[in-house]
Amino acid sequence: MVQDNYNLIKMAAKGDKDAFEALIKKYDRKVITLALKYTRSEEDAKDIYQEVFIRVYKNISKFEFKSEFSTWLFRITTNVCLSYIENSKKRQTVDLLENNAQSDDEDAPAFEIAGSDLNPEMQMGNSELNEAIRHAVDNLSAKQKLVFTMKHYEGYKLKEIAELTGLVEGTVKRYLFDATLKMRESLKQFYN
Amino acid sequence: MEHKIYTEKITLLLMGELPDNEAKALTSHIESCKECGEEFEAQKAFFSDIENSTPQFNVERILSDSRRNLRNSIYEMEYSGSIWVRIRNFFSSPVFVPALTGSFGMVAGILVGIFFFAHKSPNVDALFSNVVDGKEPQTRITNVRFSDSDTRDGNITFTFDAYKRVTISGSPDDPEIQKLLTFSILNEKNPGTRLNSINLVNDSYDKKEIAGVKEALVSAAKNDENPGVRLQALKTLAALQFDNEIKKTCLHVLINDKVPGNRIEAINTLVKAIESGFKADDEILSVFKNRLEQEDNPYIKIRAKSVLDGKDL
Repeated sequence: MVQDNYNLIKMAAKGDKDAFEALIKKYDRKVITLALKYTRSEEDAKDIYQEVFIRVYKNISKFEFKSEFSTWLFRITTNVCLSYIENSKKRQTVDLLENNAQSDDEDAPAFEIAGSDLNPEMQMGNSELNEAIRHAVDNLSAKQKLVFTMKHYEGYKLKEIAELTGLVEGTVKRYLFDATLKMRESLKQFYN
Repeated sequence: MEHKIYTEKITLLLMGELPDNEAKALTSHIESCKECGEEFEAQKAFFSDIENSTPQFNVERILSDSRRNLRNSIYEMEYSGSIWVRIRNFFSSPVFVPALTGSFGMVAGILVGIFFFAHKSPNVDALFSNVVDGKEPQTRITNVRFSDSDTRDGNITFTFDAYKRVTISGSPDDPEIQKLLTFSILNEKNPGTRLNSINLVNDSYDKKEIAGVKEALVSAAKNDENPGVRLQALKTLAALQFDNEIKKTCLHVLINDKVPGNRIEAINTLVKAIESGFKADDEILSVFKNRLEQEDNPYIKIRAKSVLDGKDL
């Protein structure tokens, strides 16, 4: 463990917020990019970011230096990503109709309902293929999607993915092979 | 060897995960086997398209927003008795989690009832004692999300964000007003508004160290993304009783702030404190030595040198 990380963790564990902030700034970019590419939603990624670092903040005093801090942090990140997807299957967003609150009618509601921002700010190409790929990735299982995202969109090695997710390397390979097969099958119309 | 095994090895080859000796053997096989050659090209095209489909986001903005939100969340956790946490708790209380079996129209109707009847009292607001105009509130609701939309158990659960325009009038010395200004310093997205909030705290005649106000100023001086806001936060801190926390803030700005004007303000505040009797401890001297070696701005170097030479002690 790098000495300055060790000191920062020790100080953060004692409640030093500056040390905590300096520590998370070393890694939070990777956390947010993984969350963004995994959820493909700015709002969801921000929620994941919050959840990850609130957990880190609350539990940093229990960190025992048995592993690298980054390994511990990204293990939390992958767990939060996986549980977020599971919970989001129960969540729906609702298109709210804009309610014109300018009526003179006394019975008109005294508030406005703003349209909810449903579509995330995605600057992907809008080609049919990209859309199909997005759909195919979303149809993978949570773990397949996570491993696929980490490998193909974040560039992690298989060994790193295994370490950060707590999976055996063979299982990571299996998830990748199955995900690739599934996606190639669903995209076959583009490759004839 | 079965071609299925080759298919998986080709996948590993294209991902750069095959050991060198196996990669060479496979490459040689691909060159001589038509079927595997075609499989290789197909997978190569597929992975190329995958790479080109990488989602693009404005990471810097999102990261900046996320950091600010986290800072605020931690701040709220530390000051859980603050008026703003009470407000949030009020809106997330069971009053706003009804049991429904109907459609969005019923949801809207209940929300209308809640907000309409909650403001029947024209002069007194349940949350603020200084509200000037509590009539005709315009409450906006957005980002409705259903956590549980299964109505078979007679309950649904959803969350939403509610925004209400509120007008408040009072003295800048009022602790409740100060807390609202503190929230604005930390939360407001518009830097001009954050700056105005700091100026109002600065104008407070009686700058008592109300819990949270000083911490918000420290946080703004160190971390606000706008240099003008950082500068004004530092100046406001400089007007308070100089202590160890303000010293550390000045030292942080002196080392880390990229704007020379802010570093100048920091060193001026430190030197003024030293001249008034604050001990120039090892921490201060260490930072001043660092500035003498690494600082670009000549004024800061001169100031640091004068302290180190004992002229300002």
